[in-house]
Amino acid sequence: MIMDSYLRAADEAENNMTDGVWAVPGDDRTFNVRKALKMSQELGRPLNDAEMEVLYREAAERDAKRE
Amino acid sequence: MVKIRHVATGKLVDATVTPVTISTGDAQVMQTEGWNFDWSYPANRAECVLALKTFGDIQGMIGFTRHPGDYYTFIHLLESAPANIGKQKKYRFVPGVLLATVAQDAFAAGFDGYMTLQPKTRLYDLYIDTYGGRLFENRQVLFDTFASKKLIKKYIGGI
Repeated sequence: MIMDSYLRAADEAENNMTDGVWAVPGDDRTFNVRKALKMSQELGRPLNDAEMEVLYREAAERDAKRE
Repeated sequence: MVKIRHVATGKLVDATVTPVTISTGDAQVMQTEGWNFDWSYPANRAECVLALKTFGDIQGMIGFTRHPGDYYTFIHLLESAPANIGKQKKYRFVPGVLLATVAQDAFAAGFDGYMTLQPKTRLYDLYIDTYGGRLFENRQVLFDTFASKKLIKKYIGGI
């Protein structure tokens, strides 16, 4: 079977799996994901917890106003 | 209808991806069969759970919540069935097809394919280097329009 590198890498990851878990429960507080991405790109690194807290708070305040 | 590959024969087989509700009792049985997570609510807080099935058997599941206020989907859990783990797995590409299905949903919902998830630690490289996800914060990986389109093309547009 011919597979490209994309599928081959995924297949390899499946082969090396020991428990079948691909995504684990994370923090599902809503936030402005596009703003987060832009900030991360500008900083040149992933956002830290403090920076994410600001985004979570902004979204919570916005949602509270909508209600 | 989607297709996954049966490892023993090398053939593509038809599969369905449909919403399911897992009761507490079902979840307990599943965990005795080797599933890692309790997929019942509220242990699993996902708004929607999809199961990939072949011949009535669940081969993998994905749980997610749409966030229309911020135009993205959050993936809570993604797990392959115990029969699809490691080199002895029965079917190939189950997690990829499930991810691609949620990516399709993220386009249909008007989110331009945007979705986030927290990978298992050892899979960060796969999600970023192969799937094209971006580590935009310390734990979560983001799939943007391009990465989601690529997932769909690879896993649903023809394997």
